[in-house]
Amino acid sequence: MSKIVRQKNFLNAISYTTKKPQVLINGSKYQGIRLTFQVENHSGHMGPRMLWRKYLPTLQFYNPNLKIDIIRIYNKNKAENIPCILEVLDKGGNTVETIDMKNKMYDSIMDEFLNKVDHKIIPEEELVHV
Amino acid sequence: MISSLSTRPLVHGLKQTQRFLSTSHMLLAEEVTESKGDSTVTLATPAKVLTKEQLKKRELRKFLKSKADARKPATDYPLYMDIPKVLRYLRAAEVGQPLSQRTVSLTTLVVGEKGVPPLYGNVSFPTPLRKSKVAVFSNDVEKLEELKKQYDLHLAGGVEVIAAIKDGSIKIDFDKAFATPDIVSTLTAQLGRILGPRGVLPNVKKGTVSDDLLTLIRENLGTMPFRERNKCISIGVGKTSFSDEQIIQNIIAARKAIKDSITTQKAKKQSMLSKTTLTSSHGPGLVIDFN
Repeated sequence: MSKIVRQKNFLNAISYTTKKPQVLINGSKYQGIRLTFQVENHSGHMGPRMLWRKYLPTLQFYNPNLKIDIIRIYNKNKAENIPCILEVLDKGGNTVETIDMKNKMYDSIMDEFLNKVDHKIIPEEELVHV
Repeated sequence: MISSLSTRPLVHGLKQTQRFLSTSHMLLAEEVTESKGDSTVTLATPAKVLTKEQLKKRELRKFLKSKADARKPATDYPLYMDIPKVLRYLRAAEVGQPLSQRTVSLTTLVVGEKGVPPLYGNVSFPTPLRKSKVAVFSNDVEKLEELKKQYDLHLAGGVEVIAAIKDGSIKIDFDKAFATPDIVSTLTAQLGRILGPRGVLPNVKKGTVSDDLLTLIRENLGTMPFRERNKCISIGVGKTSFSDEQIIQNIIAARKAIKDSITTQKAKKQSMLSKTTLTSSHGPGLVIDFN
């Protein structure tokens, strides 16, 4: 695969081929989202990391004003319980929705997030394609 | 029956050699096969070595190609984009990364003739990324006190500071250094080998040595130095948290500084700027129009 094709695929993965997060989140209601999870995968913390890598770039691309904060905590100790949550913040910075992401796949976390948040799916003709 | 069994290992062995030969054929540049009785031996010879003339020709061809590429407009590149769109992609790629790591930087290739001195200079950004750290060396204590009052200096001192840097008790973490002429000779003798390669050794040629340090620092405080390395110049022009307008203003300032350094270059044929990309710490490099 040539360098240009590889980069084209990378850019399209952000703006075109990843379908689920191609939504416009109601900017008048929400300020941003905050994810808190572990750096390590153990104890069911893999889902949020995959969500961050696979879906959040597209969500940020179509919602440039949505503030996305990620707090990752180092924890080697499996006995310790680290929160694994996604918080939706309103205009004043208060938490309005909380999603527990522990032991969940990134796909199901995204579904749950879209169920709880007011949003609009971006029509096909408005998508950016490289 | 017995005879067929006895020949089997031999046939098997031959097959193995053949298989070995067939794989080696793929890997070697040239192959010489010698027959010694029943067994076949394969010898490898080194790949063809180019003569001096051929190497020269190849270099010239490469140089002419890079020169032709430099003349091409940026819009000819397959993934050319305008700056706001590039920044939109970079911000998306940087999502969730720590703020300190979300730097947007500009990289431009420089095409120059052999032996042309590398480009260097200073950029003064309308929106600086961070405060530049300044060090001042002087034997005049009064002057240093006066400077400390006016500016937020990272490091200021005379011979004792030079000794401390030499033995390693003071870290070299400043971006710029200025000095008065009375201390320059000691500075060059003691720290020339340490500060020189980092580009922070004050010297008359660079214009960082003067009796009137007040005006010198005023002119240079808000600037960031840049230097051509490996035929390219790379400058950090912003953070992803900056607005599009702020980053574009910084890019324009960087362009002005680089073009100025080309016009002041001491060479018969001046260098040219080629492909320019905008990239971020974790994001892709995207071609923009810089000319």
